[in-house]
Amino acid sequence: MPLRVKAIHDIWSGHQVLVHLDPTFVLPPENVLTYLPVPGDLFYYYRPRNYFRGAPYGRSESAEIGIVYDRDTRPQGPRGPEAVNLFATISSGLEGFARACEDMIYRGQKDLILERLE
Amino acid sequence: MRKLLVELGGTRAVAEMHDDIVPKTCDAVWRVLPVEGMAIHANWSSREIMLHLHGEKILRLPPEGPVRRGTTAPGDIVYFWRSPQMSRGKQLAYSSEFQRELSELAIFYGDPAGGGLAADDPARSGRDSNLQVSTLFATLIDIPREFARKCEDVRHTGLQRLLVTRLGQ
Repeated sequence: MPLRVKAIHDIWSGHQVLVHLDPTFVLPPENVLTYLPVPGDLFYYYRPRNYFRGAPYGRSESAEIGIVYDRDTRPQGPRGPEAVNLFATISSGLEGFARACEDMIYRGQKDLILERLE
Repeated sequence: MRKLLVELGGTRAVAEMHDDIVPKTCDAVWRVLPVEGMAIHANWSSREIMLHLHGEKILRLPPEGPVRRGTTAPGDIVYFWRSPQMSRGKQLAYSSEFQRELSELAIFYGDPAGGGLAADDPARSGRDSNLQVSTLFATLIDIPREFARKCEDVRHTGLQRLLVTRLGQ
């Protein structure tokens, strides 16, 4: 932190945006989400090189942070649900944040900043 | 087979209709052409863009052809219809009229198509019922690289104008 990156809307999981991290930022499974996230959940996800046939999002290997902004969402990729590490949940401002996320479907990528709140 | 010209943001692709398998759907789509509007990218169904039909272009067609199992393939073009009040209605991104009737053409442009018209898509489960219909009626003859890139670009930069017209005849 801080992270200043371009967020992109997910195309497999529903109401979710994600940012790509340096793929060398590799963490083991921890606090893996057992089923569906709730709006406001933030998670970490990693897939190793050549995990998928092809390269989803143009990346053979990927470390990501995903942010769920509405219901009807399940973190998944081309093969189905994926294990993700739930590490935070938005505690205020979700409504406006969700509008901005959904707007990305209309207008494309947006800058996203993640920083420490001291 | 009749052919369609699909134009997106200055790029073009040609599709062949499946007249021999779903003739009624092909006839109905053919009658309303040309159709034009802003294409929107899917957020459950992988590499897919959609064009919502409006006004007199709205099609209300019954299921036709063999029940499809599994996923779509890159290049497939599907007619989709959903009855009003079918889905929870907050998803403005799908359409400002989300809870109303939805009639659309969906184009699958890339690999991995993944789930394609995904069984996991909550907005499309129970398809080919009296509440939802999806019919594969055409397939792109090939997918020009620049056309696929432009489809992908809808994800990155937002809505793009899409035009579907008759080719020939």
